[in-house]
Amino acid sequence: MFVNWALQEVNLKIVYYGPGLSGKTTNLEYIYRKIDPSLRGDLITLKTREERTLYFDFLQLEVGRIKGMKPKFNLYTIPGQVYYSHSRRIILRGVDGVVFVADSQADRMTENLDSLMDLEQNLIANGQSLDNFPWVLQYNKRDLPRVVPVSELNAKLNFHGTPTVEAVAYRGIGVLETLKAAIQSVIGNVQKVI
Amino acid sequence: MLQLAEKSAEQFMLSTETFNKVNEILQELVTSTRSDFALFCDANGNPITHHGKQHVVNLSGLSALAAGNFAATAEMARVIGEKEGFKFIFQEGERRNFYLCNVGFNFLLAIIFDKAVALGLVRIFANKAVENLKGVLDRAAQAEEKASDFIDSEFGLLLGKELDKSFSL
Repeated sequence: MFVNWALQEVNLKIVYYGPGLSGKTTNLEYIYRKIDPSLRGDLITLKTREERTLYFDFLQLEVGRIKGMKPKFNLYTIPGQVYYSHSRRIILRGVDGVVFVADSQADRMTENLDSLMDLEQNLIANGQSLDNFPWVLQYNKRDLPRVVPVSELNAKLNFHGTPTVEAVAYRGIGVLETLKAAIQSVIGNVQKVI
Repeated sequence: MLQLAEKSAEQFMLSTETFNKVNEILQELVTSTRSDFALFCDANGNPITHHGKQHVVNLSGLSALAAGNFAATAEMARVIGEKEGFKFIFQEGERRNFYLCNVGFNFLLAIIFDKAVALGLVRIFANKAVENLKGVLDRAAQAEEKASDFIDSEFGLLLGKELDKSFSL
């Protein structure tokens, strides 16, 4: 969190984490399309020629003043593929909250777990941990056939009892709810820490 | 006293007094080098302040990219065994050049200048500005105000409502 008292701004960094092709960029693209253009910057995407996230996507949102302060949210995605671990560590620096975008399909459980373990390791390297850090779980792609029931997803991925949201990100279902849940987790954590 | 330039901290509170001093240093830097623009941001990609011509519209985007670029370059330095990292990043454009360096551990200084301006001149004045900025940040205590003065459950509730208003669903 960065508070600039001269400009009365509060900057919060939220990172969308998860395995490759789980829908992290799709979340940001939907937010970009749906939010009032006067309240957002450009969507910056660093992609490969195959349209996969190479480094990160970035979108800044702001809302009206609250208690005299202007909150600004810096939303980042990470590249999901296993071999981009250096990039993920860099993007996690200074993070205030995480949205973990899990792919609900049955054959993607190993990738979800690997990515969640990777997140935990990177948080530990920063002196944090999933059990004391603000994060939310988004179960994405709920419209596809052969998805794992939510109860099973909870049993496999949600061992810290973190808030969960079911989503179909490309249609916008659950996208704003996820962002709001993440922001509330961050705010709750700020109160705990201070 | 928390030394902002060097100490790693999860939460930064930048006071108005420090902000004004940083602005003065940027102004002097831009004037001395006849640069187009100087940006001061934190290493996490948050823009803090800038001075110069307003042709850079997306400050938040530039700050995020500068921070990502600098961190990636530091990793490259580590991979090739350069323990202290690289001193600066320089990109040469057709009309404008881009110079980026760190200010202590937590902040970055980016300068955009015309091709007609010599890189050596920018380097000399950037080094001077970095020392001055580190001096200001090292002397600066965290702002006296606390985030807990305004971030409470009511703040969270109002934030949710503002966010709903911002979306055209």
